[in-house]
Amino acid sequence: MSLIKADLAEILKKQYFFKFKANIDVFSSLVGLQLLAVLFSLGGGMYTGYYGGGMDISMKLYSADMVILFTMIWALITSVTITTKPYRNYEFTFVTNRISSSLSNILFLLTISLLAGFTSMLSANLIHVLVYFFIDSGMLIYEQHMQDIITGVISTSLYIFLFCSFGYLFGAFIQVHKVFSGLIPVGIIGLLLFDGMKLNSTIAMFYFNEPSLFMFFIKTIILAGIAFAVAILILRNMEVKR
Amino acid sequence: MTSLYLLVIIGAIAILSIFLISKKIKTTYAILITYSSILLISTILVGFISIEPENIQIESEAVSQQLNNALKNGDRENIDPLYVMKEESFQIDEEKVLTLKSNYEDGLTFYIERKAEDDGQVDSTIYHIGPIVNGHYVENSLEPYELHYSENMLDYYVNRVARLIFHMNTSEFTINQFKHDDVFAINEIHTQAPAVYLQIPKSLSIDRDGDFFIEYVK
Repeated sequence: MSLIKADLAEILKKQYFFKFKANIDVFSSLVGLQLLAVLFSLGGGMYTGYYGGGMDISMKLYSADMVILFTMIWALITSVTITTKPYRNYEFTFVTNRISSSLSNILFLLTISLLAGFTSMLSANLIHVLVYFFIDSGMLIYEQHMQDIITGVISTSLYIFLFCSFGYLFGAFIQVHKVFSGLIPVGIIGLLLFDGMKLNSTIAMFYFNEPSLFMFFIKTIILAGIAFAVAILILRNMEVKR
Repeated sequence: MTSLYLLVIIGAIAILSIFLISKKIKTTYAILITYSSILLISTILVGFISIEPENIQIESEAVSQQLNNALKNGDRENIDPLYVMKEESFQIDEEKVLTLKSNYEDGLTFYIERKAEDDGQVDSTIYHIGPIVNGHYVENSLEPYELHYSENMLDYYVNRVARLIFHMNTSEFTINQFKHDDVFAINEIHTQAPAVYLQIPKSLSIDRDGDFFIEYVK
């Protein structure tokens, strides 16, 4: 028994920096996935054309929507991964318990959400540059206000963080029993099909139709908080090393 | 200005990232730093390769209406020089009849103003409202239209098909959610048929050969 009293904040700080270093490879997969999404985005979105009077005009819209979607999937997978046994075993070089471990994981997921949100938004510029130089050198009409960019970074990071919380919860259930790895996805899909996508549209209304960024922030923090809290409760009841 | 802000923010993030990661550069760090650099360069570059749309949103129909009214009334001083495509003068011989001809069939209008004297010269101005893309005027520098005078005939013709390709950024769904714009009304290209304003000698008569409009300025 140690006579030194463990300070939670100090432990969290150490674990956070350790996890940031230990899990740095998740950024390689982020870069890979975002570049893949950029590649898929080069085809453009909505198209409008006009022909007549000696003019042949075509216009295509480009955005980083696909990059954001890919990043959400990456966030889900990454957060499931850090709950797995090999990642948990990293921590036993530290003074730790389930709560400090989960809290440092949440801080790590928050950090990667912010970074991923930022790179997702900036990848739109990469798409424009690639289209201009390598696909079709037309006129690039670029209009983006600073306020929109800040809104985009915040909301994208919140969406990614929300997916991280779902992934973390999913990962926690899998740690209880492997059967959840199949049961939860099947359950979600089954529920959506069973009630004719009503749940799907309700969730969509609750999140995608929220017009206030502040309210969206509150909703996201509450839902992510619930998901993380449940995950912590599940993981807390597990044995120290299993 | 936006690029400058982004440059500062990215710089700060880059410094922070470099501070957080260890000094030994491993593959993941190299990938991350390279990717960040690419995003940074793209952000700066996009400011140079993109065209600046007019800041004021243009009501396409209103602009067309104003131009037509100004030409109809000979009130050309109030027309924005932005819409003047080409100005030319032609010395005509001593004909009494000038035939106007065109292969353009999409609503071309000739506005004709008689001068006070017979100076043997036709002064022409081609007006064209270039493409207005989503309410932004895009400078029209392609000039696919020509006027050619020969043997008592003034021919307005489309010399080639001008191809314009626009790439436009659109806000991501994570931004659109908090904006109150109609996302489905975003894609709009407006063009206006060109108009030719002719100042002709006092006693010159006009004849036509083609499917277009002729308006005499009051």
